[in-house]
Amino acid sequence: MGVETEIVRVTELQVAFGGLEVVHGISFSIDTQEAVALVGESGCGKSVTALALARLLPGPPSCQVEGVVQVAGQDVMDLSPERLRRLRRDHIAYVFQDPAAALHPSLTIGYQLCEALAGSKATRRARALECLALAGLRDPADLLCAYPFTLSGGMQQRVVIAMALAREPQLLVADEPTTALDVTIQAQILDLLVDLQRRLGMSMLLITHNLGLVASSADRVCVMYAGYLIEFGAVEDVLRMPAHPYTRGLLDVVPRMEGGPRRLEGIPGMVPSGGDPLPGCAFAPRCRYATDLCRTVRPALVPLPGRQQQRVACHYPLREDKV
Amino acid sequence: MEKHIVALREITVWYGQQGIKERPAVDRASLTVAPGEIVGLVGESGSGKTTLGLVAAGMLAPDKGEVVFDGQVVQTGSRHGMQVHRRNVQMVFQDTAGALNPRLTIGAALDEVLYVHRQALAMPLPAQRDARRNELLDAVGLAPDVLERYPHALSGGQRQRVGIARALAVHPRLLVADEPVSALDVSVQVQILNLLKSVNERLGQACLFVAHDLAVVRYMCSRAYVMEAGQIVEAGACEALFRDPQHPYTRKLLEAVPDVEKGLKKRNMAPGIRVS
Repeated sequence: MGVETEIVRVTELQVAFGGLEVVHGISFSIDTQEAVALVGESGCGKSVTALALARLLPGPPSCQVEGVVQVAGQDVMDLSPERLRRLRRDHIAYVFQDPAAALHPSLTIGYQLCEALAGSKATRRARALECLALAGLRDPADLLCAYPFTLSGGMQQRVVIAMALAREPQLLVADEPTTALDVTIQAQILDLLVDLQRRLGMSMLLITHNLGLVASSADRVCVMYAGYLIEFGAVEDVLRMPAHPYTRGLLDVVPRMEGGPRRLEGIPGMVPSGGDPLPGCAFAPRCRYATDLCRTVRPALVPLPGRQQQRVACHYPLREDKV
Repeated sequence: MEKHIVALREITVWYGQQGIKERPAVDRASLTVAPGEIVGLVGESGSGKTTLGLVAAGMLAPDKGEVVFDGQVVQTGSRHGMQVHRRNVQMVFQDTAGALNPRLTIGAALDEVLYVHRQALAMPLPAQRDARRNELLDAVGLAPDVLERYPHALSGGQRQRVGIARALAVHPRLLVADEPVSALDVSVQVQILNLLKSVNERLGQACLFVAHDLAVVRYMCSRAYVMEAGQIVEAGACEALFRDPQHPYTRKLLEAVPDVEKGLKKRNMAPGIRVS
């Protein structure tokens, strides 16, 4: 492993499905041992971006990917099949939303977990037990011969996490890892992921639509809207002083537990369904501050004056402190 | 005695043959909803909240206990009794796509309800029903052009608006909303919550709001019941319930609510090994 501090660098990533562009040239990076959250609503391109990191998107003609994706110093887009296989094996692991779909229903946990491991039967078994214990599962030895359907959703997700850890990846991509789970389990799984990421020194890309989860778990956050990266910065800066009206809107639409009850306004309209890219800012039709400039000229992602670490794609970034 | 639109008394529901499962899905649960009130029912999946909601909506007959609607005991054992009850209660579902027939246009879906209930609604003429249909769309903030469209051509938020319009068609006195926003995008969730609130204020029907998200329940409801493992473990006014939870399970649920402010505090306390 080199001395580079970046594990992931994505430059001008564009993804189109059958001519319909869903990700419009986004760039971001993830440092080693850093947790970056990718936030946005359904259809904003966040899962597609995550899949592009390991070239998991279907190839042409159904899907065209352009731009540069570098993971662990390698150019993912140009790798030979064998090198790509190794990258997927050694460097990146995924945890998806639905653990029941991620596990093979008719193979035991032990079989699925050992499949990715090398070495003698005994070493693989030992490593499998270790991973299950890391994922916070009690009695791992019993679990090895259990089938996925005998476990609860939370336990299944822990098994998936154990599988992701098996090869000691440098990057863990967690795509809505808690959305399918109960609230109380949600918090446990997220705490587990954050704890493991820090303890094992992994980098993590956490994809979610829940800013509450971002607040406790990530170092930096990318906010996506309709295939554009619209705000990027340290979690505290972005959540306390959102500069993009959409980020601010996302913070405002979540009912809060603290403070008195107040009426929430919500963001009018709905997420654009893609297809007809607007000439200007994608959020302009729903933005209450939008002007003719917003509707005609697309704002670039630029550092905020006075806050170099925070980048925003807005002609009129919000200034007042919030939250 | 206090006036209730619906009172569930000591409801017990077993799924499957009694005794095979360790415990009933709902175990001696009681709750009341006053006219015009929005009452929350919270719990995790498997807590029995949906089952209790189905009992309140007359879609499931309880094994024990009684359902009292507007002072009258509902004959839950008889088909006729349940039919009478269902006329007064409507449901809004979580899965907006599953709740609508994919082969019917929105117009046809609304027509069906109005046609089935034409006598109760005193709308024998198609023209009357068309007028009511447009009125319903207007009430939920949809443009008339959705009438020609199929469910798959609408967004989740629009479909949920259709679901609400359809529920309101028969002037229900109680609406049972089972996780009405948890499948929707966050920016749309508030729109639907506000719609349910405004509909409640304008039309005055009561609402039993089933959800797992305490923050949403607090936003919507004046009172709430907390369910765990089939039993109601705590009940009370939302403000008191969430400020000073008595039951450990309520506390656990409260702690689990992801909250930006809480999360930011938590991250500052966590011993992170942040590099760079």
